Amino acid sequence: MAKKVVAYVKLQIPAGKATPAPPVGPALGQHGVNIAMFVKEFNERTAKDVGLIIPVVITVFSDRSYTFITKTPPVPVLLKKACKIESGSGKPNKEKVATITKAEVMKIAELKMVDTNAASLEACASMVAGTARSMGIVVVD
Amino acid sequence: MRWVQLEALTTGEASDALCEAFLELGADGTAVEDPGEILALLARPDSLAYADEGYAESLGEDVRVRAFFPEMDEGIRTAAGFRTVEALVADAAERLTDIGRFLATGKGTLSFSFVADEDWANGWKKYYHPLLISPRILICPSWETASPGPGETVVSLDPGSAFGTGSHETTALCAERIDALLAPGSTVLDLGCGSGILAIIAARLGAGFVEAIDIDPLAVKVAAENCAVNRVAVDVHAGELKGARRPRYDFIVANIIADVIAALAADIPDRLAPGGIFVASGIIAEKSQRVLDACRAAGLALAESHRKGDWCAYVFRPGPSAP
Repeated sequence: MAKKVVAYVKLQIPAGKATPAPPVGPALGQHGVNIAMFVKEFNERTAKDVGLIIPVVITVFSDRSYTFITKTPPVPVLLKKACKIESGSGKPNKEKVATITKAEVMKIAELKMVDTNAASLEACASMVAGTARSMGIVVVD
Repeated sequence: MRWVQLEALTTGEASDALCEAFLELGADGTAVEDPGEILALLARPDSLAYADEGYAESLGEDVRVRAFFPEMDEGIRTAAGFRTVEALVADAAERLTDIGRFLATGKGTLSFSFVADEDWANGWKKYYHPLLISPRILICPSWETASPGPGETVVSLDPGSAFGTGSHETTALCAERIDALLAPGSTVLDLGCGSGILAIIAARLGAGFVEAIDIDPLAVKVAAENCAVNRVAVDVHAGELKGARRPRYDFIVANIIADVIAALAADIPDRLAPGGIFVASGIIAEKSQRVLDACRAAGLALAESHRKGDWCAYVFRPGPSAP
């Protein structure tokens, strides 16, 4: 059917454990989305990933129906996994917490390419490298 | 209880890093609105989605990243324990500045506000009430009690993840045509069924056989559930017109979009029974000529025109040259 988009929002919420509380409620409630149903469907679809924060993109249409798709993990999550660290540095300028090779950065960029608006793989890789540095991860050759 | 909402205006490049920083500060989750992603969605050739002219532009260029922290009696709950709002905002601002050393953060402004606790699990229900979508059909959400008037039939439908809640003009236009034109015992095909609302209405109004198809498997699942809730027998399956089970139908309804209907018009006459009816809807006024031209070229004769707001619906019958 003719689906007029009235909202498009990306949430990062815990897999299998979403609730109607923020950010879900404020992001979707104003558009009249059936929040109880969204939460149930999201939790069912992501139950196998409990413990992860999952990005989910919700499109809301003019009759308040919606669709959602879960996306690849956010870049910082992929970086932490590649570097085997729990969290990034709170002071990335001074305290470095890990190193990553350019080849690994490229691998992450290739994975993320499907989900980003980056104009090219190089632009995507530069975003991944910048994100790594912003977390105190040193990018090496 | 209430929440502190931090909101940053930034770029797509920095949004993942910023979400991560907010989550590390202890946010309960993040929400991102990226105008670039919306434009990309609308530009996709396979997308049935569209937006009002000016909608994408109205969003501006900034990517909006929001994060929420619950306020307890002891203070704002963060990963570093209970803090004051000022301390939390200062931490977030520092993280934003740090990110700006490595990524383009655009405006890079940070603001905060308080969001009052609401009954989000139920608040959205205020948008839905029983709706008399056509003279004989009352659409009613499951949590409301329907009081149908004489001659009215209740269709139970909750809004959800498939288009067709009844509150859109295009759906109402089709419901009205089905109500007015469907002969009892007819065979019906609902092409692009979404939530299945039109198929259910046809079944309720006495159709002999109803088939509902959609290219979206999710819509097929939702439509099947809605048919079960309403205890109507509808053959719901995934596919396109060429996958429809019967050679011909007395009544075909397609509530899709103008371009799709124009593209399938040529195949309609072969699937219409003699004296059959084709209802085309989901047609925005500015594209209506495309549908009219395609249907005329296919040998269909225009029998009725209807319009609600910007939306047109047409009733066609096999033309003189058709079988």
